[in-house]
Amino acid sequence: MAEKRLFVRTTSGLIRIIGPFGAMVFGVHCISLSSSGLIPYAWIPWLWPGSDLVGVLTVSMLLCLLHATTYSQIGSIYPRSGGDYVVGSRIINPGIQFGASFMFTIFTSLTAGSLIAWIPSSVLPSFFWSWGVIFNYPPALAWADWIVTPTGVLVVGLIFVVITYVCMIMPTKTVVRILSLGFFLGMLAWVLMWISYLMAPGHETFVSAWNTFAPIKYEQVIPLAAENGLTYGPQPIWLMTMAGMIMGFWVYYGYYIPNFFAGELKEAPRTLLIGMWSSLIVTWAVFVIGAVLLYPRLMSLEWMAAEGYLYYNTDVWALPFSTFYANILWPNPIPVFIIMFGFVYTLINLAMTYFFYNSRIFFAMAFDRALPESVAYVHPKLRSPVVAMTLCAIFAAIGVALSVYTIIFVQFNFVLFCAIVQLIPVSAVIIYPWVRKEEFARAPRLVRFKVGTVPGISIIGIGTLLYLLWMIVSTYLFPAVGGLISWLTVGWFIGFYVTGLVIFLLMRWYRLRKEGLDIVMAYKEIPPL
Amino acid sequence: MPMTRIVFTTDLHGSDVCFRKLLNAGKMHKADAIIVGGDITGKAIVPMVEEADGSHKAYLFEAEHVAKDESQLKMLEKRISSVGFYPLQVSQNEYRELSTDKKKLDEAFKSLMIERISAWVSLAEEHFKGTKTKFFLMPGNDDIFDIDPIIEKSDYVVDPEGKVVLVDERHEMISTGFSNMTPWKCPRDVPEEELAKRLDEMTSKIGDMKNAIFCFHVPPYNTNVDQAPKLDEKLQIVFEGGQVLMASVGSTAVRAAIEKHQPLLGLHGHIHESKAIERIGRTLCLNPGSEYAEGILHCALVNIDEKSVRGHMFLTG
Repeated sequence: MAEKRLFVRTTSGLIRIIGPFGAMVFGVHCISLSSSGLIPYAWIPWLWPGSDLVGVLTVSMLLCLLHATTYSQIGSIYPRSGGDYVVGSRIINPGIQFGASFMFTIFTSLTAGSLIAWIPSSVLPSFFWSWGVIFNYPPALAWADWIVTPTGVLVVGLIFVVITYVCMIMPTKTVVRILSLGFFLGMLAWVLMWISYLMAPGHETFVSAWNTFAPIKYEQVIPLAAENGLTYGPQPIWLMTMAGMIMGFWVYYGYYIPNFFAGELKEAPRTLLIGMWSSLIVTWAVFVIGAVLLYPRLMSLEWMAAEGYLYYNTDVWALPFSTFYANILWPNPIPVFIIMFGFVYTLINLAMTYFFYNSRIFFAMAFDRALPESVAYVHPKLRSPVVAMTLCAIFAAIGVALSVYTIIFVQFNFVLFCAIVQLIPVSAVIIYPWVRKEEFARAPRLVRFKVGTVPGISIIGIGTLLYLLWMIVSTYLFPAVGGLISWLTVGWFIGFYVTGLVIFLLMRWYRLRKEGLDIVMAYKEIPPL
Repeated sequence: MPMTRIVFTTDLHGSDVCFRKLLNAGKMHKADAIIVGGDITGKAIVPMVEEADGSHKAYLFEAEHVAKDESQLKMLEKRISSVGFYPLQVSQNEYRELSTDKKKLDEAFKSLMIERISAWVSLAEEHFKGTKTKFFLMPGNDDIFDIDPIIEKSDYVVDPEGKVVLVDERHEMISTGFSNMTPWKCPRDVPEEELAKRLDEMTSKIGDMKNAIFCFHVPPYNTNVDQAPKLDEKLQIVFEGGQVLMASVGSTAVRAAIEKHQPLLGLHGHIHESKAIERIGRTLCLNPGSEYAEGILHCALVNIDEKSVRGHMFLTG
């Protein structure tokens, strides 16, 4: 009987790289224990009044598992840098995908800036306010007041863009250390927050703590929000929860990022699936535990909604952040400082992951010769793609400014744009078994498994496609997130997409004329003779 | 002088489907020269053991495959060959012998490698002999010396190892599949000093260095094209925080030769993960990488003219 073995020569090794833990850490950072650790409690309850927070987080996570499976398959088909850009360009059309990926890269770079702007607009004020009020240190209150001004957000935001940029151009070993430390710091911050919540036996304790430290009394919050226009709870819970999935997608956005560097993954299919799923499940657990400890134990969802509404829509004092709730319940400088430091640190990690995957997309485009070679330049000593990173930093800086001086269309409409852009590669994998029959037959098991006679990749892909379509439709049906989709929104979308398409066509023309090479060849299948 | 188009690939490691894709790439892109830059033999034999009922059982990537008839057997052999391994039909006794007798196993490897290289040479002759396309097939550091005579026998396919060959009327190419020492002590691993001597000997024979092509399997040290996962003393990948640490593993002798002579183009392989380009002075060095085990061909298309590298791009298919 044959044993399970090969006869293997002693030769140079077959070596691959990042394993599931690395992919999970990356996914967790891109989801972000800090940014996405604040969003659910500060936004969801008032954006979809009446939705159930745990329901939104759970249903979103389950649907994201479907999306993560599709993206694991995308990364497994052609495991290399660029992820869905590679798949869409080779299966659908290079120009169409290039335009979409170009737009995606620009938008997420801008978004990295708006996320960095969270540090001065939300995280640091929460910290300074907590510090000032809890420890009776008035200068901290002044810093909190200044840092949320447009100038404060801009200046501090730009400083953090520079910090992120400097971190990302460091040698890989240093970047790895920064990210690894951030993972554990972020988890520590959350554990301390849970402990803070648990230290309050019930609602009255929270009310008492709130009334001790906040200038607005607990009992005033709901009436103030109602006076200022918040209407709570007229819609059915199930409907609001479905609508809230837009924000759920945004909360978890980032778990699928490892597909952009699948070429660096050991046993790509397995690593992608385990990495993406585990990052989703870990962050779901962290946020849901926080939610369960907060409401209805310490506050009602309506109160949470009112607090968030006041902060984002009025000049009334409010601070709807899970970190502040923890700080007032456990007003000890050590946990207060660790929580704040952890959140600021992981927000930088979040921006780092955006810089990281965007640089991979730029690389893939430069390798395909659809962007200038200089974009893929790697610094000889730092071994870092400094040109690509510089581009990311410039766009991030613009994103900081946009988030200060414009409505936050970049963040909220990001879901819409992201979902539209992903329609192309997801459609590609649905048809993949038929348009690339031979490749499909040789593909990894995760890609080529069938349910009966139907390729599983197509079934799951259709599910993901429907999920994305729901994301798109619901941004129209429930415009609470970023307001109505205006001509400006459509204009930006088309503008960036067309810019990408024009760049592609120009590069094609240039390469053909000057170099005798048609870049479209890079996207073509090479069947065996 | 019109433009010369080169299709360059490397590290096919016996993958039959990748070789056939290379042939097609040469045709699709009307290559003037097809160059395979080393490591052309496979790494493993997959025994297809005959069972009592006449079927054959084999394990590929830890999955069991059973071929019940001749056509299934052929399909299984094709699948095994496409990932660079060598299918071998054996009886139960033969399987036991191969498991215990290293000499027999080595002979089996040699025989299968020679058979596949012969088949490749024949395929190349069938499709390109008589055309304008030149075909260079070079063994690399992983490859045993027994395959060299097979390539030498051909009156079309050229093994450029140690020779100065003409890619076109203007561009000379020198080539070597030898590498600096690797942890696995492969057949053509040599110390840096010896590699430097080999390179010196070849470079001394070039007439027009500024238009020369260096096809050196091992890439130059400390560049983008020689980055590999760092290994510890037990040949295990060094991880830090879940991520692999990379290190330069290329050759200092190759780097020195390129820095000194500044040829037009450097074609390299050896490090599958290091798909990249690097400019050392005026020399464009490229490594197209390899994903042979997935049946994916990585190659580079390079257009050269009388003065320069007009353009290059990586193809994957």
